[in-house]
Amino acid sequence: MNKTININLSGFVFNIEEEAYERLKQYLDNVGAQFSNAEEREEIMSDIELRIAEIFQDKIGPFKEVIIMTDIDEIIDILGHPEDYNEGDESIDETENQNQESNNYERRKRLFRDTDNAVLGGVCAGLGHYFDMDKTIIRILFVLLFVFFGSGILLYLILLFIVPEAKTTTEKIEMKGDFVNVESIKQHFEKIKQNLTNGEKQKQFRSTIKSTVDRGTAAGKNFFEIIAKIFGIGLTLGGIFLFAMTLFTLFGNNEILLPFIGEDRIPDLQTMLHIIYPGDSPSTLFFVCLLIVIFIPIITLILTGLRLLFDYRHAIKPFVIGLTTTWFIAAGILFFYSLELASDFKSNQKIIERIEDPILANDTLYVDVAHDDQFSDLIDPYNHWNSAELIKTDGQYIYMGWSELSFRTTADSGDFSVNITKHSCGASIASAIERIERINYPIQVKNGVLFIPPYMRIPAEDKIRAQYASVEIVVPENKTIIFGSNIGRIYRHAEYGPEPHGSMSPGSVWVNETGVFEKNVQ
Amino acid sequence: MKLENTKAQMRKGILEYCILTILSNKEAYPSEIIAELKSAKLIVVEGTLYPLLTRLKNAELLQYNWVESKSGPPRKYYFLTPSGVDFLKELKTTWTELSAAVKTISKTHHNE
Repeated sequence: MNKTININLSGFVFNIEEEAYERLKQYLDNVGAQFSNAEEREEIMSDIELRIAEIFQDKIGPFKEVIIMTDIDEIIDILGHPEDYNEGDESIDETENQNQESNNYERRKRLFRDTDNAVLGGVCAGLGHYFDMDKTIIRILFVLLFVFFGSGILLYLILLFIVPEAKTTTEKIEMKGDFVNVESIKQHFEKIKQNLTNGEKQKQFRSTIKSTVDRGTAAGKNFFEIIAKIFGIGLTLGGIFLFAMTLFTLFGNNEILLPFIGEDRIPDLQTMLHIIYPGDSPSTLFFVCLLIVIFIPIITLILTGLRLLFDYRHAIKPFVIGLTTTWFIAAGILFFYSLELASDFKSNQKIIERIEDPILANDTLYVDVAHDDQFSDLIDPYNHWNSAELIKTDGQYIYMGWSELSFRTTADSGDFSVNITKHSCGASIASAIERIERINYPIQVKNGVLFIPPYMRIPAEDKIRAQYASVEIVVPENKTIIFGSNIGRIYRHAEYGPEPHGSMSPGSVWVNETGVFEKNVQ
Repeated sequence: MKLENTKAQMRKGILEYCILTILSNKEAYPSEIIAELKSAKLIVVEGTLYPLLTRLKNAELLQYNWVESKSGPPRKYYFLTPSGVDFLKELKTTWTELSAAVKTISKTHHNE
């Protein structure tokens, strides 16, 4: 006993066994998948259904009411397997395509420069062919990219170098050839889906499956190519973005990206390198090397992206070898400089000076910070401590606008003592000490007030070698400290006073009672 | 080059010519055309014919009328359009030339 269902074929109703129905449906689906033109397919399929209805009609009689599996087999024998339908295909071109499906993918479109339609080097016209876009649009895109930090020019030059000109007719045809697009892949996958479902159960369709698998492999290959192209686009755009950003950072005097550099700070990157790297004027060579070391990887990134995008094997190789060699030479020079730089940090020295002044014998010491004529009295060290804004150079000197002030209480009686610690590195003990001696950090006593300098100054030729100055004031028992109005310039970061508690605002008075600072409100 | 492909391509052009020839004498519906082609061993399965008829019709070489059938669904009776007649004339000339050429060449090489 088998279950039957009713089907409508070209307006005729037939009773058909479920199993037979499934087979018929798969057969029709498969036949339908043979025709790419939708309109044509509809008409052909209705013709076929009509014919099947006719054959069924012949079979049904007083002793037979139901269409069964063997009837379907007979139908297939009469009408042929799905792949037989295309044998009568009138277009020879199409048939060739089907026969040489696998070749098709190797014969796909390639990127060439179209010098016949060129404005400059034919890059844009070539890209237009490759992407099936109007070349004018590509040109507009390039001009837009040029506006964005000139990266359009770089991309254009790279393409100009690595993309060959379409010289022969074959190349010109390849340049305009068929492109494997998403649509064709979609079609492939649809066919696979339709064909695989009926698949293995039925040996009649074995040859169909074989061609399906072939198509599947091709489609899989396409899928990876599409992925590679997406990566290619990502790498190219990422590279261009990086290029633009780096260019912007290096030459744009941009305070957000390189906070050290700016007006009234370090004028440019070259100066910045100059005050760090040893030597009188190595910075130009160094700077060029630095640019090479930074930009070659970015260019390589763009090249890799373009290669994925356009599938280049030749032409690019000598270019890459050249880039790699240049990079290593530049990196070697940088490394050499850096070794020299590192050797300047071998010795690490400090000198502690003790200030001698009669006011230190007083019971009350007025402490203030001298006027900041280089940076600003308004700098909040709590926010700006060690910040990039606190270093500048005028070519002759380097100014560093940070210094450290600290207080220590002692249970001893006697005078205040003020110690300045100066620190620097150097290639030798002697050179480190010479640098320390050149640190200009003058503590002054004026009108009975001890003035701490807000910044230190070192000669530009000393370079930045971890020079540092800090002041410690030791407060004996029962002595009082009163802060001046500018104390906040270097000291406000200690919101809680010299010792763990209390505010350290200007004008506040601190007394060392029994070894602990106490705030005395006047 | 596969033998099957070559065979299929050779058959293709001839198939068109034969269909048009069959229809030049009388109107016919697919099953009739198939029967003739089958008896001439030009095609083995019917499926091959349907796409071909549709494409010839779309190329405006053929036209059809629906005719009611007593025993089953209505049938499409195909006939040649004027341009189909011209087309067939051209094909006939070409075919005569071609078959003469093939004959001559086959003979020459056979005699060697």
